[in-house]
Amino acid sequence: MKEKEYDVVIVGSGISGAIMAKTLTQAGKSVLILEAGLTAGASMKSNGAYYNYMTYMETFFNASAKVPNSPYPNLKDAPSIDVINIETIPSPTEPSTKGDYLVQAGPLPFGSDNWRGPGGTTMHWLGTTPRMLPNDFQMKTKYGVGVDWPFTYDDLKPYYEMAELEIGVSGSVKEQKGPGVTKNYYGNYEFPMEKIPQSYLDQVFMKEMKKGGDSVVKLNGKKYKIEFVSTPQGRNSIPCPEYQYSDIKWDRRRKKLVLEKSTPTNRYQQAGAIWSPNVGLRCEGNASCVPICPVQAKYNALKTLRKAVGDHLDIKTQAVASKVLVDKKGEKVTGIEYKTFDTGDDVVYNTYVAKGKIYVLGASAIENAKILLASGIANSSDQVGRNLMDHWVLLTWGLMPKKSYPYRGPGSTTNIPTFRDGAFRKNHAAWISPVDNWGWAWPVFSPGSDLSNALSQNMLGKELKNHLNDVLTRQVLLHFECEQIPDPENRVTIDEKYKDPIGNYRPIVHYHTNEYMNKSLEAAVKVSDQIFKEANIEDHTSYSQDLDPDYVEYNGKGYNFWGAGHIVGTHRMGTKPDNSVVNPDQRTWDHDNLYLIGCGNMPTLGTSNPTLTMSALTFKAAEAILKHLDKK
Amino acid sequence: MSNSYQHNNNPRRQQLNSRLKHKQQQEEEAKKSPKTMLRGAAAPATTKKTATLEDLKENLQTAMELEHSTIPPYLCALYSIKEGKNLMAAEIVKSVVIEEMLHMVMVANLINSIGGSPIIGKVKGKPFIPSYPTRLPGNVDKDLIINLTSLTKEQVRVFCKIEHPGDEEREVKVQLRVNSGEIEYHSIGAFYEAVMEQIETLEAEAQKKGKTIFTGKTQQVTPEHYYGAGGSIINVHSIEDARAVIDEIVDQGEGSFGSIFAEPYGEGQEEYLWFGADVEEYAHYFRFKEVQYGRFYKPTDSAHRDSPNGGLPTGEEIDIDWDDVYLMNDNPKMEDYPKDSEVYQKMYDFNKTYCNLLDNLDKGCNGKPEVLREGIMIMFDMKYKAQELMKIPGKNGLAAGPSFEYID
Amino acid sequence: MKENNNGPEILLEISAYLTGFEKADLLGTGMLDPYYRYTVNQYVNADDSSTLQSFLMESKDIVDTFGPDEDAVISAVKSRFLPYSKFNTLVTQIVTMWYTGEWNGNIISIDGYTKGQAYVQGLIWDAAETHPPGAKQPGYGSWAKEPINSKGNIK
Ligand SMILES: Cc1cc2nc3c(=O)[nH]c(=O)nc-3n(C[C@H](O)[C@H](O)[C@H](O)COP(=O)(O)OP(=O)(O)OC[C@H]3O[C@@H](n4cnc5c(N)ncnc54)[C@H](O)[C@@H]3O)c2cc1C
Ligand code: SF4
Repeated sequence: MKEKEYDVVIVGSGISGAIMAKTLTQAGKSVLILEAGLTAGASMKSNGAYYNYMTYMETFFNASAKVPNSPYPNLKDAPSIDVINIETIPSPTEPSTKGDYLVQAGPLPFGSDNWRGPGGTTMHWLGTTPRMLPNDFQMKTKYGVGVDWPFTYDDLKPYYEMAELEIGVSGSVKEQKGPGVTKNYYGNYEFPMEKIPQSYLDQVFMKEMKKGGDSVVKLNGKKYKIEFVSTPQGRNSIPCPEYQYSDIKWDRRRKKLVLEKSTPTNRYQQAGAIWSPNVGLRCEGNASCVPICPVQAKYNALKTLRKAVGDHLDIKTQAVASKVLVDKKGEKVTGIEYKTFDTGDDVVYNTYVAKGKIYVLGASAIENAKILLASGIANSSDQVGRNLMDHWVLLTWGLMPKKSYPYRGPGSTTNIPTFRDGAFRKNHAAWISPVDNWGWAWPVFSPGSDLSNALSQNMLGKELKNHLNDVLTRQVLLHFECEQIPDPENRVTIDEKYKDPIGNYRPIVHYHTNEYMNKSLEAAVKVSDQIFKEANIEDHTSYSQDLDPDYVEYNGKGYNFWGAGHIVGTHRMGTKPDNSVVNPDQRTWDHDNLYLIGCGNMPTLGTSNPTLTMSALTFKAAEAILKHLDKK
Repeated sequence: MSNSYQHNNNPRRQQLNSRLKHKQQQEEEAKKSPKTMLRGAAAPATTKKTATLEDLKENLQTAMELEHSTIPPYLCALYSIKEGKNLMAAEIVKSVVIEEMLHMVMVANLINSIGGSPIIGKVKGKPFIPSYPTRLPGNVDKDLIINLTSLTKEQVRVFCKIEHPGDEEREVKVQLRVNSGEIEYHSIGAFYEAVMEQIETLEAEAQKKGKTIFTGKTQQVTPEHYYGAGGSIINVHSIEDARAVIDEIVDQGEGSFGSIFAEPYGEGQEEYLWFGADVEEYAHYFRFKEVQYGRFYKPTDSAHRDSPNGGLPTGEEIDIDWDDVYLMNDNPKMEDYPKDSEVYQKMYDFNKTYCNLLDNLDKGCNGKPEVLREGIMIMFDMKYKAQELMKIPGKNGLAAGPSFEYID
Repeated sequence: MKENNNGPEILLEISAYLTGFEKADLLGTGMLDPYYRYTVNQYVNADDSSTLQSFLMESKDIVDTFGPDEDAVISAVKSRFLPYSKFNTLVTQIVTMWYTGEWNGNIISIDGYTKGQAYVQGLIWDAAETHPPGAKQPGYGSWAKEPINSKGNIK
């Protein structure tokens, strides 16, 4: 029997693949998704989805290290990159091969991971969704670093609105401020839902800061006013009555994706849990968004996938894409080779080819690059795999002068936007500073470490309980999420030596620091010191190689940074075939019927978490594909 | 497309709703089967003429107390389930409780809409929280004694009876106040239907004078304040809204199928087939049946007693282990324990929280719906306190359990 | 205390002193029995299988002698058990078990009990006036206010 030929074959059911599948099927196209993860995770039936999710929950409860991937199955046949495997690179000639998948050639380990399974990495993302700033699109022109995007912020704006509808962003437009946020930035607009209340901790922080003085910090002789704003985020709150839109539709006549206006009978409705539309309509403050939201109040890509039109969509799970096949001339893509397995750990597989008119890779930045490299295609620019980026998260931590009750609510509800843009970007990175709501958990494994420290000091009984109460209720953690600039030597490669159990390449990452990034770490600590001083925070930060293997020394001081989970770059979008892998429609320059989606397309990173921008780009790509298909 | 949109436009659901609107038809059905006590069947013709607005307000207050009275026993059952066990049973019971609270709040909206003030928590003279063991308020069924206890098979059977007094053909009554006298009704559905008639009569009289009874100015509770239930909260400003509230309550509760059982079973009759993936919810009675029998209904199951499946669920199995439940003392009281004991203190804390919740609901339903935000937090806190009491040993080698007593 | 060999009861009694929580708080976690069984199992095959029994006996002695004076009990524990006695590890393990549900770095898992309850019932979250991430969620907007549950609050 002949394999069915689909309009579009998509690899991956993460947010990029899901948005693509939903948009195309709703426009009447037939779609196949190839998804590496287990079938159970893709269940859309209420019982199946519920039981499966509860096994994730149980695994999470029982995990001793509650890292982002801890609730989710890690398959031998389709292993995930996992931060639990991060270690200091043994030597320049000896990469770290810990874990089943990523090979780390160093010299610094790449600090972020993702999850390969239905719904992808949004299952354990935090859900923070600021937009990029207008200047972020013109880094070369404005600051002489990195590259410009092939279009501007204004060009992307309508797609941002689509992404905010799809993800279900809660936020307050009028509260947004900081460099680059002008009247026109959002324009006359509201988010789908009201802002997520800012935490008690945020409020204490802001009050202490006000008490401390004028909130002005100095950096390299210049003064900056520290401001706090509520963070837009993809988790459910109260639907905003003024929100104007209800849905996204393909307008066949105008050949455009359009936002449908809300009417009294067709209003925006936030998406509840996969297993019940009545669950998760508000964030309930589980404070476990990373790695898992028990009630699915936080957006995950399964919510989008569920909206895809069922009879236009086939999902082939336990199917690992291994190679993109092209015709003899090397121009047209003719199929995607994939391997299927039975249990995930049996290392027995069968190979098939999926056929479509158009092919889309949405397997996340590192995997997309790896598949292209393994296929030996789309690389006339030699840019495939290059310019791998992440936010370098420098953390600083201390104790508030009074109880601020951390370990509650979503991961972060407030950020300091002050250093998101400025002339300093010529010399060092810009950053955004989310205020973390979860104590010192990230850098030093609180509260467990506080307990063991107290016990080692022989504290017991009421004294112990009092001590823990005193410390744990005052912990504060501040992030400095520094924009990494594109560097062609930060890259993904492959090597025959490194294959996974079913014979697919393991991606190899080469990763290093440079002067620009080092300077940012130094600057961030200088700013942190001043903020802590003004807010009366007792600093407890201390960096070392032992604390975290991403450790660099600069001007005689040591700094740690952590990965943000923002895997970006690797198949950049650009203006010309010789400087980029995809064009502004996110179609590969080399292959007419191959599109790439995901953060890999982003030429630069900005200071915003990338997924909102990437989702906007994915709507743009979906529109291009619909036009492409309608031409034929 | 939004879920609630799909939900409200679900053809099967509409069918359920439309049953309520064909009263005439129902009355005819009732006549066919005089043995079974049915909604509307006992409605005396005098009702319409004599009820006053004050009667109506009192009746609605009774309705609210009726909805509330089932909440503590349902919550005991829910919280007795060991954490992480019997997941689906817990989900089912939870969904029912959330809807009972929704009903309570919607009746409060109704009271507000006609210029009354719902009273939750502290009621003059009679206790708002029943003292368990108890009968249903309004004297719905003298033979039905409700205990506070854990989720047991026996207790689920009681829950089925609560939700469907017409089952097993017992005689049931609800007392309805008319002109300071009382008339008994024989099912909750019938009671609500009579209340609806009072509303209609009073509104018709008012309309004749160019007025309306829907004069309440108090800010009502909106979906923004109360969410997470199957079915969305309704604000009442007209007779249509009032009808929608009553329909929703009766539809989710026991009422709507009473009449269906009166009809003889006929093979392949669509209206008995209420189950299946596209039906988001069905009446509480059936949901408890699922727990009782450890199976879901499937789309081909019929609700009718005389159908091949006997009105029972025959679908996918629900894993229920009746041993994965903490066993509590029946109808515990704080006074069972010395005042200076830790158990007493824990029970006290729980009751305090429960009363705070009722006070919060009272405020929320009397013009300050925004306080319900805190109500949600209190509700969660109460849950964790109850779950503790399900594990703290009390008398008789059983858990102390939450006692749901009023504390000033 | 009634019986000499009432293991769970002695464990409960001494744990209340060691952790600083009320007995009812410990009972409210539902973990006393599983923790007792688990602890026994940990020591049943050890070379020092008598450790647990003698620890419990000494604990009972301390509680009987110094209780209910918390300070006196704790200082007796410290002088007799800490830091060099063979009970040092056991005391740390027991406190950690109640606080985080862990034993030597792993979440305790006990047959017949829901996996992960040890984590969920950890008292450290009460001490921090919060709840374990992923469980016992306090509801929408709760994080914008002071916590309403005051169990961890020292009166
Ligand atoms: C801890 C953490 C927190 C984060 N927080 C935020 C945040 O707050 N804000 C933000 O903007 N971003 C955040 N991110 C980043 C965000 O999660 C990702 O940008 C986003 O999920 C990527 O979506 P994607 O669809 O491109 O890829 P993924 O979600 O990774 O999906 C890829 C999909 O492809 C499948 N797949 C992979 N390989 C194959 C193959 N060979 N064959 C078949 N299928 C395959 C996978 O199973 C998966 O379904 C976070 C990330 C992490 C790790
Ligand atoms: S805080 Fe809790 S409920 Fe809210 S998104 Fe995070 S995990 Fe979900």
